[in-house]
Amino acid sequence: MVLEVNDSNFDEVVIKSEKPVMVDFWAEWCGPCRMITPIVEEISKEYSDKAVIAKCDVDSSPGVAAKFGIRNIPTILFFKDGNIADKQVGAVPKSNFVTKLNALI
Amino acid sequence: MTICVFASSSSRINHEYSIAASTLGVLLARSRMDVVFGGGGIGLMGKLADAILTNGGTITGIIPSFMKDEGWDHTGLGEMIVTPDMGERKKRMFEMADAVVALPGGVGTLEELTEALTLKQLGLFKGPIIILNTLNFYKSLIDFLEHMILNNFLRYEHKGMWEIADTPEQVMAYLKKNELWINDPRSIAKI
Repeated sequence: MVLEVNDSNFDEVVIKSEKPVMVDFWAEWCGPCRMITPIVEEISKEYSDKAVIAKCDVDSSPGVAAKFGIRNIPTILFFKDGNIADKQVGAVPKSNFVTKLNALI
Repeated sequence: MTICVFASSSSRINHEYSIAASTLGVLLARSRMDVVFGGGGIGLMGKLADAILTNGGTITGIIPSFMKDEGWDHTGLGEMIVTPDMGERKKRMFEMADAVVALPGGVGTLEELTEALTLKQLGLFKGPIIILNTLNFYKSLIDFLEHMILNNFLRYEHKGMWEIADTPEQVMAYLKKNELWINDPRSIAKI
């Protein structure tokens, strides 16, 4: 399941997580974001026991988006122990996300 | 989401055009849309780039090497791709684009805009194409496109390939609407 994170629960779900976290920063109007939505959902199923997969709507969570300097979407941030460990900007094949995530597990 | 913007490199134009280009830059940066453009440092290209950079946005320039040698490039960009020629420049811009926006411009801008329309007609580019019609700059072109349709050089359905925006705010509304035109453009490409 892809968890929905926002300005109020981001710290709780992402920063304090004991597992690696992948956060998809997206917006409803963004075509490339919608292209990777099914990929993110697939990864969330495949990694349900190893990692936390989340998505954050930048329009409704401007605080988080500003804090992490999200300048364009989709941007996917990978967190480990509360810190940004890796980053992927733009719609890319599933293997790119999986490779980055595997490196943190 | 990457927006390809085509625009003039002339600075000897009505101030209203510059204001519209700057406003669009601010709005694109605030919406976190990536921009790719022709890499020019002057004219509407320069205004757009400056506004994006000032507002924390991301913009990539793609410029042919001879233009860089002439010193026509914007020197403050985070990323500048230098191509061997004009054709390669345009090809790279289309490859990166999810949508195209044409600001007022000269024959270079016109050529880029009409290639975008051609690619869309043939199903080779699927994103929105938005014409920013500041001060009704593109009236003659819009009339000419209608003339093509009336005389069966274009189909009526092809009118759906472009959107006309009077203001930068309308450009943003069209970009965010993100509607697909038709599924199979080639089925109507032949007139």
